[in-house]
Amino acid sequence: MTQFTPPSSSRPGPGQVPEPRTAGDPGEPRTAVLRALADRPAPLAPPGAVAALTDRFLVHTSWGAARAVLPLLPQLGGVVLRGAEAATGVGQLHHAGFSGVLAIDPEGYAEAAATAEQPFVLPTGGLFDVSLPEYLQGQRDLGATVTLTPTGYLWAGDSEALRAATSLAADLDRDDVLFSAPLDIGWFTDDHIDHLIAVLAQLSMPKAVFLGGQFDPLERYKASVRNLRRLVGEAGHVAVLRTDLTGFDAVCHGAFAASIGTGGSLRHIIPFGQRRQAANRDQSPSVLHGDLMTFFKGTTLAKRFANHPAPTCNCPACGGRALDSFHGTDDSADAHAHGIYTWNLWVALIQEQPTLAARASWWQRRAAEAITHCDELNSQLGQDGAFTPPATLKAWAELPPWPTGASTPQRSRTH
Amino acid sequence: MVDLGAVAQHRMLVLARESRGITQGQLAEKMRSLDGAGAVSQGYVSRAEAGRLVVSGDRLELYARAVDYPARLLCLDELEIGAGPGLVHHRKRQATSASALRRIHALLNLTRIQLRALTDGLPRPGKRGLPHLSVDDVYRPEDAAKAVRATWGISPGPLPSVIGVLEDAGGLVVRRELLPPVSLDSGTDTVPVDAVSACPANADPIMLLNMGTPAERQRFTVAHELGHMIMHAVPHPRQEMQADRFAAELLMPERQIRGELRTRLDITRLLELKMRWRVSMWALLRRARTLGELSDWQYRSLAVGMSSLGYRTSEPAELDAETPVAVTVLIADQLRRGHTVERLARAAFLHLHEFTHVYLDDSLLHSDGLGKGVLSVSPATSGGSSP
Repeated sequence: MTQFTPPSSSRPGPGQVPEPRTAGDPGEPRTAVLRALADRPAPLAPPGAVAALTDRFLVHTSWGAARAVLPLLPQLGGVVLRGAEAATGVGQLHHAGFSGVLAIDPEGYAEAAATAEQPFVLPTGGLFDVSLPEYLQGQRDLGATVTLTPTGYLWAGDSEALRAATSLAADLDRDDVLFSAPLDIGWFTDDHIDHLIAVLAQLSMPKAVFLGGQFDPLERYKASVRNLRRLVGEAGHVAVLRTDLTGFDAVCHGAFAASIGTGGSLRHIIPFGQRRQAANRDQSPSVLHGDLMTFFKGTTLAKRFANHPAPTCNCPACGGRALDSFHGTDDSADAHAHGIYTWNLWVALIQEQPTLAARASWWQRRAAEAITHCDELNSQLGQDGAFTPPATLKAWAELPPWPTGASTPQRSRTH
Repeated sequence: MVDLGAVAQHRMLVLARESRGITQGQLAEKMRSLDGAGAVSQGYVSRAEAGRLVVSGDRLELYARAVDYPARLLCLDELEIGAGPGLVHHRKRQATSASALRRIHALLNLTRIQLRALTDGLPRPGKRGLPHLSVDDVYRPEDAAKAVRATWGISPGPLPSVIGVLEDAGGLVVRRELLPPVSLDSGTDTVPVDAVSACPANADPIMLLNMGTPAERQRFTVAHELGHMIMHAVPHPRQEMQADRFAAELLMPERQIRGELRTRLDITRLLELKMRWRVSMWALLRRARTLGELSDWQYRSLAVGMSSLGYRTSEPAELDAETPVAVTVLIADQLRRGHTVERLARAAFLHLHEFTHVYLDDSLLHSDGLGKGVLSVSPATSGGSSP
């Protein structure tokens, strides 16, 4: 008889799977966890240096964009820089006495897909290989407040790569690290969410989730908004980075921090190996229409308001500027500053709420108002469908504001 | 002639009747027509099956004729499988009537008795046995399937034979008429039982496959049942979904199929992949969505397209169904040892005509390896272990 011997180590080797666990280890009931979270005044702070990010909304951008936009802004919660000049930018901001949190997005997910054998993307080609601890220390040496692991892109269901990455991260003996989880949005279907939460919850280190997919990744699967809320509430110390207004939904539901991208390409990540797809490739910047809670290309707003006066913005960056006036690359910094001013106002408003559950209700009302405003605006313009609420916005408005803890609905199918 | 001292076991009376799919009233009527005396009522059958009266002698003989089993079967004192939860698994049972399920359970129990008799005395070397793995949110059904592939040395890529995997582990598979099959992908409300399986203590795992289940679904069904056998010694509220996930990973390993699902996934491509992986186009479609290669919208669009082409009832490029061989090999072995078909039928508590119908496939009926058609083998006079 063949001996059926699963790997004995808790850490799976390449191509191996972890040791089976005995059944009946449900842990703390979900409902109790969610109830306790609902009553908290603010997200639970992670341990160590990462606690500095708690309840903060950071700007996710490149150093090139940051140089242009930072002088236009007031004090920020922090900046996450990506790209070739990220290290330069963090160093310069650090030496200039920048008071917010500084971090570098290593963008390992853009270099390779994570595998069980190589879950992290570390620099090669020098005289010596760079280890993960050395790589992270390098970020700190540049002046970063916290560090991010250079995790490769995690395809939906590739649990071997995910577990290999979390297993190696768990061995890091430092409290200034966020485990980057660049997750294909397919992870947020009902097929995978329980497993994803379980694996990430086993890692005590704070987690930084990136959402992978073209356009708005959350629109790819109906369950993804609901399941992202579950993840940030149940997986323990989760931040959502390089995102859009989803960062607010996440922080209202338990995420300890979020970073919001200045441009469309910095508000999600692209599945490894794919080229970025865009509905409109003109050079106008994306502009946040606060009342609609949606980013639009500047040219799109110009077309929609061609025959009507566009709304104006009185934020310090705009000073009464019309929202249909951001046409080209020269307007990018102003558009980015406008967006950051706009959502920074919301940061103060959600932090005024007494509990996370109250924040979630506030966010739901805000989304519902945006949808109502969309109809009103179309009526004013005399154009049915000129503005259409995105599916994600509808989900924020229509889902129960706070998860109940009920099990993920799943049914068996016949093949 | 029945042994005058033999007494029927009441649970065996139930199993025998239910395996024939008849009610107590129908059985009483049959007994009356055979007896001609009109003395048997439904109440009699009810009391007999409840153990409240003794069935022996002529009445036992009459009972046996009515259910078309040897009287010896009705006197067996057997520990029934399926009495407790979790021991018997079906795919699917949502739309199946209680009476149909009782018939299937009875068939499973009687098949176990038959197979035990047929394997008695035969060495079964090299069987690796089925592992029992508990799954949860961390150790997933997919991990159990990966472990099975890795530990049993199954090559990456399409699985040549999923029945072969089960049989190599000591499982015995028999095709029986459980219920008429329905169309592919007809949803959980109308899907009948495709298969039933059990892992009795101290006995070979057994699986009954519904004859006529579309070949497209057969391999997934067997893999699904194998998943139950490996993962569900203890019932789990999501065990059907878990068994589906086990089957999907066993038949379409994520590591190998992801790249193939990524290229221009349309109906033509699904058909190509069906021929390569030997699973239904619907299974491939769902696998693509599960692995994030199709969005909800893309999945729905392709599903609508396949439905409009009639693929819910019949897919193009029909696959060849897998054929179980282990039981046939066992019977051939018994015949080679000198046992006759009549003797094997008697050992299996079946009349010759039914034994021949259920257990002797064409390869045995026309085998030259036995020197002549096995149905004409003369009764053995000696030798061999007693099955």
